Amino acid sequence: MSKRSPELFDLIEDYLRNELDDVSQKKFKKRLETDTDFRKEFEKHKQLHQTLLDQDSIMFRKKLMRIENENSDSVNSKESRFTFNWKIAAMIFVLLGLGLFFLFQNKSSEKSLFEKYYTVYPVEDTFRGNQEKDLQLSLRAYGRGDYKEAEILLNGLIDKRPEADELKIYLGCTYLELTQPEKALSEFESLIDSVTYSEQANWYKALTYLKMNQSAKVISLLEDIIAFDGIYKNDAMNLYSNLKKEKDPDDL
Amino acid sequence: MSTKKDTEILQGFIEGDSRVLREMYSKHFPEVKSYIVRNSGTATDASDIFQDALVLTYQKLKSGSLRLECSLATYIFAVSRNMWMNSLRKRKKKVTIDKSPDISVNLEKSIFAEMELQEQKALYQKYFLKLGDRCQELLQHFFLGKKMQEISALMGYSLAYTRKKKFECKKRLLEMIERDPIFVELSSDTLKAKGK
Repeated sequence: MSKRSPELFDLIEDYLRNELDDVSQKKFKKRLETDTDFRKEFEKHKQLHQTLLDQDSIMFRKKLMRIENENSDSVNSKESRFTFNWKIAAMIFVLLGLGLFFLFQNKSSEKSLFEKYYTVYPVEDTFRGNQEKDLQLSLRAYGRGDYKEAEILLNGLIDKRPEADELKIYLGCTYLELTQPEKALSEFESLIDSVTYSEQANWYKALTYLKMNQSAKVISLLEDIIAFDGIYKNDAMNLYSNLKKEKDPDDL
Repeated sequence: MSTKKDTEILQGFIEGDSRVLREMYSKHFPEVKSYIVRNSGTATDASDIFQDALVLTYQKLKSGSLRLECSLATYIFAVSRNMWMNSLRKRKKKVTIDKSPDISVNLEKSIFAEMELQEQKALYQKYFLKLGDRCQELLQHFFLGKKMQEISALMGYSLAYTRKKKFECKKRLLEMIERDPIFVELSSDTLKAKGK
């Protein structure tokens, strides 16, 4: 595959928008004929442009997704009411079983790996004290765990201060708290090139994949974090060994 | 489509009226779901197929390329059924045709012809909607042909940051699409077709 770069994207986009001069256009067409990887990349951009030009359909799909979610929420709540007694019975049974289990096993109960390793990114000291009012409000909402409010405020702030990478870490964690891991991922990924926050972003990205049960991706990210040898190295090593143990219990 | 009620439903559907769409889900999704689950599918498959069928129908109605000769519900069931059969064929699973919708052979053929293209479009749309809101907004401006200068003013970003963000969002979108097994499947189908 042609290595993706802003320059490559600009070139393809200029061609698709018919903004290349005659000479560049000829050169472009020639490359399409001779360079298979380039042609494949071009085809994807072309499809993307054609598809996303139809914003009506996208908005229509968005609406359907919302309706589907409403439906599944109401089905789930109905199911949860219906199965309530069964759940109690099952819980009693499980508790009895666990009681017996602990009589014979001297192991402490462990939370899920995500719960074990995830802590919401703390509000940094540099942010405390005198700040502009909207920043204060955002961080207060975030700090007291009002993530719905924090989401709105942080998005507004990032709009005004797109260079404020630290706010994206907060927004990413906010999305994790609101159980929207895809959106969290997008925030953390936007920090990959950040000079100050790429390490934090990588760690939270790994945790997001952990929440999404994509352990292969978690492991690959943890290897990078361990190699980076920074503040998350120890946590990364421990989580790595937990995951490996789960994956290949006989190897360890 | 003859009754007043049918015309209203069709109009509401084209306009994206949430009440009509909710009714579609409550009245007609169970039938599609039951068909798909009976034919080696899951409830999630059924949701995906039904959603794609609704979007395809919407696109065709909106562009004026579809003249309905049956009720909207019958057409949507036919599209869902054909989409699912197509998907099963790709997975090389046995297809049981236990319910044939009441539509003409020509209409059924035209549904099949659209399927591959629609599958690709659906994939790109779904992942676009998985991007963060700001990425979606930025790319939306871009795909609608706005200049970077204009986009940076609309988004409140610097020009340099807008360029950087546009690249990151688009790259992320392409990577998500490429990782989807359907994309791999569609790409290999295209290669096979070109090889013939």
